[in-house]
Amino acid sequence: MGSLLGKALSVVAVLLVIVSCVSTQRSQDEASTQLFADLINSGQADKLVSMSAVPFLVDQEIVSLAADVGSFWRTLVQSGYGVGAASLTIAFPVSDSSYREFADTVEVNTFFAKYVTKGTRLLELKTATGKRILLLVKDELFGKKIICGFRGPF
Amino acid sequence: MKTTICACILLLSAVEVISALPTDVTYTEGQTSVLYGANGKIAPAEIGNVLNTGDVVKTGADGLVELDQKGLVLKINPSTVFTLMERERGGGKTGVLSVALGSIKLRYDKLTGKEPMIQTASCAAGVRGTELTVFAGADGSSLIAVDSGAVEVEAEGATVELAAGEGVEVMPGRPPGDKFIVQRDQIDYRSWNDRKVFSMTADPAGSIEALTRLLATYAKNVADFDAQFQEYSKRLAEERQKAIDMVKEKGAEETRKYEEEVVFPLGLQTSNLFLNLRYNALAALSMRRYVAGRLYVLLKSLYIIKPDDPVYAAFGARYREFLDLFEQSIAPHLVAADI
Repeated sequence: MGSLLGKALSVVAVLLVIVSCVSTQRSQDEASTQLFADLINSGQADKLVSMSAVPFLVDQEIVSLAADVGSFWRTLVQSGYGVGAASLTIAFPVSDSSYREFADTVEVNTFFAKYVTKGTRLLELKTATGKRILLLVKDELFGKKIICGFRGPF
Repeated sequence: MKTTICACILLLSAVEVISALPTDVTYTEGQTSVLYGANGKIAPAEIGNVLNTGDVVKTGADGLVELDQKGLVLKINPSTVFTLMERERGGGKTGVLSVALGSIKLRYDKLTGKEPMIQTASCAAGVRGTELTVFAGADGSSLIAVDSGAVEVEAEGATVELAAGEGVEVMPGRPPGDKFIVQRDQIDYRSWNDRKVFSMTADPAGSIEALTRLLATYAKNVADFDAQFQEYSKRLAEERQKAIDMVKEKGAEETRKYEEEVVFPLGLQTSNLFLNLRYNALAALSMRRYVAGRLYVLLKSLYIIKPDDPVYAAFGARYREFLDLFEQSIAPHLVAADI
């Protein structure tokens, strides 16, 4: 009887750990969404630039010059782009087939294999206009977030 | 990516080692990086680095790199993408200094008759001069200015000879323009390039059409060299087998003679074909990445809140054609290290 109770408690403990991990990951993804929305809505292009990896992926294009990544965010902001109260719709870790979410091409496949590191998350955000965007976000130490790619709005 | 690329690495490696001209990094300043063609790794350029064929040097807005290639001094100016390439020409291998974006200044201590060619998205230049500057604009256009000596600029089958104090501009997919007089260091790259960006964004559909025509030329070259390469590879395999069989039938001496006279020259021709195939594929990749791709990203950010604007829609339709052509004809000939 005692051992049965022990096993049950172990199972519950494992489940609690799993739920906790999932919930932590979800809150990290939501924090990424909120941070991105705040930065783009408030026009903080320089902050977005400092959070961006080089090379960076925009749709199917690999942006391999740091100046061009900067130019991308700054022009986006100058164009008046915002996402309003964006919400996180889907989030999952990058896998071997995730490149297809951006473009099913040799280049994008290679970009993911070569430059997108383990632990990077693919986030789908729904913007205030109902359109969606994709972000590639890597959570680093001390809450630092690195954006590796942007697709959309679509 | 084609297995033929892997299959002929062994064949090529010996030739590459012989023909590649090592280039020393002699000075760096500001933000710089090198994408090493051999392994695809990226690292800052550092004094003492030795660069080889396939290596790509990038400089940031404050970056500067100087290279020494046995009597040729190259100054890679800020905001430039420069690649050391190689291609076959007249039966031998020729170095190619490729400027995808930005500007470089070249100074030859002495001319040997084996000077590398200079390649931009829109033209090729044969150097018989000792000091010149090459500008590569955001729209794929080029400007060559000669300080001393002579330079021959070729594009779309037309050639212009430049003497000291002369320059010429070449638009993508067009023959060279008229020569003009240019003073040393008179051209400011930034203002010249700003004008290119302005005209490019004024007619993005026209710009991408011109680039698609250029890409089509590369695609045709790749297809032609690939077909010849496949044919020669097959013949080479047959001749090698013949040489193996010959040892038993005719002895080692006759086989050696056969290998020297038939197999080795065929092997060289085959490797030259592959070199030209790769040269064209990499030139197309460079044009896509640093000209067409940059145009796409710029247009996307400019029109992000008005995607249905007719100007952007027209550009988008033509860009799709550009991408399709690239995917079908160029991408299969690239390897991960290129990207």
